[in-house]
Formats: sequence, structure tokens, C-alpha cells
Amino acid sequence: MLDQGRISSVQLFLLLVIAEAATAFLYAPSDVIKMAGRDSWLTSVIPTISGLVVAVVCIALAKRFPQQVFTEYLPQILGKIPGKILAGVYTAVFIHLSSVIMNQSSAFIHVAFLRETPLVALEIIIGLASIYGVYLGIEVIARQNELVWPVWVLSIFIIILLVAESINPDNFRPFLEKGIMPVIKGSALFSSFRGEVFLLLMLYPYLNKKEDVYKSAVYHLLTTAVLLGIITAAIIGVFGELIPVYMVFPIYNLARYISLARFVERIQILIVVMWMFGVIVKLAVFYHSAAIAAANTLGLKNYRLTLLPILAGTIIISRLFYGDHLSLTHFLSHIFPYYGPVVELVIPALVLLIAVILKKGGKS
Amino acid sequence: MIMLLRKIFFSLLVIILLFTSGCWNRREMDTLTVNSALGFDLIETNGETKILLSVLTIKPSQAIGGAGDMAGGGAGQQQSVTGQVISITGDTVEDAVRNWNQCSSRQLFMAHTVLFVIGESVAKEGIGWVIDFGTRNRDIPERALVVVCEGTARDALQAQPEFEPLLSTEVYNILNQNRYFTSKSKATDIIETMYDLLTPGRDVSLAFLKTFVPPEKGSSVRQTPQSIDGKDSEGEQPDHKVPTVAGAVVFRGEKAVGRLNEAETQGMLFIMGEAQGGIISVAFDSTGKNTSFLFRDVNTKVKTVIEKNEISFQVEIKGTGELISAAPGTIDITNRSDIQKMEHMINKEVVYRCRKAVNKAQELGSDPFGFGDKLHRTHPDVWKKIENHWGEIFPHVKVNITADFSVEHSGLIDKSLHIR
Repeated sequence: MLDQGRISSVQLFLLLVIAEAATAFLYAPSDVIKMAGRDSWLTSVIPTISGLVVAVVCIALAKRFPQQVFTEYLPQILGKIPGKILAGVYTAVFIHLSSVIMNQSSAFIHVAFLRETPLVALEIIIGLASIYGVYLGIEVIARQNELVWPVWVLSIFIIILLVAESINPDNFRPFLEKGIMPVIKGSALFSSFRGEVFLLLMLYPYLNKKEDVYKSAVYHLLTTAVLLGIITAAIIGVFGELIPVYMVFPIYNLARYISLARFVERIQILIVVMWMFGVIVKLAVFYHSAAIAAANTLGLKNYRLTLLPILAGTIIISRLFYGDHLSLTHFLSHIFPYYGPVVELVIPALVLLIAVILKKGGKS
Repeated sequence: MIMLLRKIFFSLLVIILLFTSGCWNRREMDTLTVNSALGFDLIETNGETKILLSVLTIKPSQAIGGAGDMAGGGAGQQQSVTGQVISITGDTVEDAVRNWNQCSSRQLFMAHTVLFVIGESVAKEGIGWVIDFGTRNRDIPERALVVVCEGTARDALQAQPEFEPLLSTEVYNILNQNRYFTSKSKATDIIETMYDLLTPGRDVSLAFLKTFVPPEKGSSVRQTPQSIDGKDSEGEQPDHKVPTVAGAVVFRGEKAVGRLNEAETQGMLFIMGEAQGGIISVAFDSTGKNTSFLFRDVNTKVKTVIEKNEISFQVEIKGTGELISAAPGTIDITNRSDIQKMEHMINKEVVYRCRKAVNKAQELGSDPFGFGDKLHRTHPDVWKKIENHWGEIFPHVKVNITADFSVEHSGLIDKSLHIR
């Protein structure tokens, strides 16, 4: 274990919540509403189950090696060469996911606010803030997150409370007009976001009370389901199910639409605050996993050495492959729903199966 | 090694801080023109149809005399800001916005837009691109109201506001208060317009902005800004048009098909449940309308009734209010039968206005009430069958309207005066 930090179960829970919701709240509703229409608020329920499956698999695997992270014990399960290769694959996955998050974070600021600022400049600034957190270790990220989440959750509730008067209950009818299938399709999209609970593979060893891990995971899944369900419901309640389809960032438009007594207006800046706070923590978590995975793969003693190359790599990937809006949304709505479950569920499940068969690691 | 790295890293951070202490693409006040309303017209130039964008810009006024003038009136009352209309053409609306920079050294800053004025030409051709512009542009607030004007938007924007420094704020305030004061025109913002455009079984209705030359001369509140050389500009502009809103324009799809007058608009707002205050005048014991009722707290329920493939709508309007004026020798509010008689008359009048609105809308083939939407939400199975024919079905749909208003108060005096 390269990072000697320790985090509590509450910190783990909050970290997981922000690590998922920080980007999902801005990007997911539009895509989900495209698929599931006015019943989209339901789509946050079903993925909880798939998220739970992911969590159970990951925890079972992690419990076999309580003092090591996923990429560290892979060679012990699969043998040296295949294990290293899979660890390398996971390093690439974490770097890739980081670059997608990086791209999302700068794209929103670029489209909605600073149109003339070069995206690379935004990405470098966000990235440096995140890797500084990673440099200091998981404990610092977790503590920073403790400062972030109240702001984050409060902002969400303020926005929804202020916009509540514009909610039209008629927008939710007729319920399940086209049957349950669109909801299930939309859920598939959310499932891959919810599956980000697989970060447990990389975070479990830092937990100070290992027996509380289930509590953290379950609370995380429930909280995220409720949060994203409320956000999606508020968007549909105000805009109906047809307008958000056209919107790139519906929750941002929702915040812009707030006008309480023509006095409380223009509070969309709250979204930016939430966005930057959340994205920096989320990126830090993914960077941390990527750095540790890279150090394990390469056999380094200090994971911090990998940080600057990873930062450069993510920025390059983000600029080269997700340079335009289309490629980002295409990835999120057409590739991630397949790609996500593979790295989040299928591979860890196979590894767990092999570990059980070969009786590797401690009892779980 | 680590300590050295740390030092280098920190000094890097400090250096970065120096360069990131502001916004990269900052827009300072002295490089911007702030606009308050946008007008959209189509014009023909050299055989091509182009977009004429009229921008109502906010001009900070020149320094006014001195503070000491305040007591003297006159100059002291001068408004602090004035508006100026500047128009530009372009192939598309954004082209026009950018063409602005060819004739102005200042960038257009649209975050204070409160009003979209759509000229007749655009309303007839289709307003879709205006709504696209309004929602796509990141500066324009979604709460900006959309109105259709008589003639061109360029002319309408040049009307002289009477109470506010800017026409846009005046119209914006008129429309926003309208729901509680008269309920005779509809305030629709960009998002609501988009909602009506997109939702099946629903048509757009927008307020109608009219300008007219007031008969009163030299109204004390209406002032024209003095030009710099002290010449009174009043002589150069013989007709000072003032803005007013009058009824609503209804659309079919994105194209305007007709107008509802004030009474019909009120009827429409009753059905939509958006009328929250206004006057209903009735003829009580007389041939002319002589007694007025101020309604409040209106609650409308629209029910869909389906009997043997026959779709009809049941509109129930409930409300309360007070007697607000009465001609001498007519109503006696202390007498229950008089109240009942009055309530009956009010109900009849409300139903009449709603009926007129429905008839007019059916005649125009436009459904601004959202009856089709209501059907969709309550009977999705029925809607599925007729979805594509709603435009043909709606003009023949039966709408039953009932009203139930109660007179609860009568101001500070009760019965009407008995003149001896």
C-alpha cells in the first residue's frame, strides 16, 4: 500500500457520493430524459440495484486482501505477467475516466461561462488543484471533501427549493406512457454512472474500520439515488420532458430560471461553485486511483512521481479524443453504458471468481 | 529531493496565481453596450430576405447639471438612463449580432435582456429561430418575456415609455403585474414559449404590444431627453408613441394566426388558470354595464369527458372577489338576493368571455389553452389515436364552461347610493 492514509467510513461514504454525483448531476439528466422521457426520475431507482451488485463484488474481492489495493494484488491472483497486464489496463481505465471527467469539467465552464479561455488553460488549473490533493494523499482528499459536500448538497437543495414554485405536476402525467422499457434503457445509462462505486477496489484498504464498508456503500447508493432522482424530477417538473432533451446542461438552465419575487435571481453561479468543488474532488479520487495503479504496475515505491505524467496524459486524451461536444456525449450515452459495466463489474467479478477458485487471499 | 520538488511546485503555483487572478475573457463595462430589449423583423434588401435585429441599448445619460439643481425641478427630474434603438441586419440572427461590431466599438452584452419583441413579419413566418436564439445564447436570461408587436419591432421599440426610463422595463413590468391587476394580456417568457412550441396539443399565445399616440399633450411624466446643445428634441419627433399591451396573439405551430382582444384574452387566462385579478363589469338593473366586480383567487379545473368517441372538456372556474363599484340605486349588498343576482351575472359574464375566447381560438384553429395537452395527460390512450389530427379535431370539440364566483366584500360602504 503506497498511501499510508486512513479514512473513516463516513468520509468514504461522502467521497463516493461526490465522486459520482459531481458530474452526473450536470450531464446525466439530459441523456436520461432523452431515453426515458417524463418517467426519468424513476431511472435513479433501478441502478441502485446494479450499483449494489458492483459494491458486493468489489467488497468481497477487497476483503480478501484488506491491506492492498486492487492493482497490487492482481499479480498474486492471476500470476505475475497477466496480473501486471490487467493492472496496466486498469491504470489506463482510470486515466481514461479521469480525462473524460477533465473534459466534462472544462467543457461546461467553456460553454456556459468562459468561452474565450483556452480549454487547456482551464484543464491545467483544475488538474493542478486535483493532483495537489492527490500528492498529499487520500486523507487530505477525504477531508477536503468534508468541506465540499455541505456546500454541494445545500446548493442543490437551495436551487430546487427556489424553483419549486415553477414545478407543474401535470408534467409527470401520463405515468409510464410508453411502458417500462424506456425507463430500463435510461437506467442502463445511469447504471454505469452508479457503478463508479467500484472505486471501493482502490479505496477499501484506507478504511479504518473495515466492517463499516457495507454501510458506506449502501448509504452512498441510496443518497445518490435520492439526490439524482430529485434533481431529475425537478427538471422535468419545471421544463417538462421535451425541453430538457434540447438542453445540454438542464440543471444549469434550472438555476438560471430561478426568479423568486424578481429579487432572488441569477444564482446560476451556485452551479459553478458546486461544479468546481465537486469536480476537483472527483478528479482527485480518480487521479489517486490512477497514480496508485500506475505505480503498482511499474513497481514504483512512490506513487507521486506518476502524477505529472498522468496529468499531462489526461489533458492530451481529453483534448485529442473529446475535443467536441458530440464525441463527449457520444461516449457518455453510447459507449460508457457498455464500457462501464465491463470494467466496473465483469472484470472484478471474474477476478473474484478466480481468486475464490484458486483460494487466493484471506477469507472473505 | 522531495523538498526541492515541493519548493518548485509551490513557486509554480504562486506564479500561476499571478496570471489567473481575473477572468481570461473579461468584459469590462467600458467595452460593452448593455441592451435591454431585442426586436426581430424580416426585411427585403436586394431581393434577399434578411433579419433586422433592433437593439434597445441602455445609454447612461450625460452628467446632469449639478446637485444644486434638484430644488429647481426641471433638470433634477431628468432620468438617469435612456434607451436608444439601433438596428442591424444579417443573414441569421447571430450574424446580425456580430455585424453589430462593424458599426459599434462596443460589444453587445445581452445578459440584461428582459424583452423580446417579435415583429409582425417574423410572427407570420415563424418564431422558431427566435426561441432557438433565446435559449441557445448563454447570456440571455430565460425569464425574458416574448411579445408580438404591431408593425415592425424597430418602430415598436422606439415608442416612448412613460413611467420607466426604458420601454423594455415598462412593458416587462406591465406584463408581470397584469396577472394580478387586469388579467388582460399574457406574460410568456422564453421557456414557456418553447414549452408551448414543443408540447403536442398546445399552441403559443403571446402578448400583443401596441403603440399609439396619446391624446394628452405634455404629460408631466413623459420627457424627452434634452440634446447636448440644449435644443429641444421634441420638435423633431412629432409623434411620441407610447407602448401598451392589448390582448394576445395566438399561434398555430410557430406561425401567428390571429389575435384575441382583451376580453377574449381574459377568457383564455380564466381557462388556463392564470387570471388572478381583474375587473368584471356587469349590467345590474340597467341596460349598460354599471357595476364592477374585482375577482381574486381564481381556481380553474379542466376535465376531459369522453363519451362514445366524443371528446369534450368541462371547465370549472371558481373564484372570489368583491364588489368594487356600483351605480347609484342599483345593488344592495346587504340583501342576499341581490348578491345572488350579482353573482349570477358575474358568472354569466365570465362564461361569456371564456366562450368567446374558445370560439375565436377554434375559428383560428389554434389551441393556446392546451386542451390537447390536457387530453394527452389524462387519457393517453385516446390521445394516441388522434394525436396527428388534433388540429382538425380541436375546432369541433365541445367545451362546457361553468363559473362560480362569490362576492365576499364590498369595499368600505355596502349598499349603492340612493340619490334623492
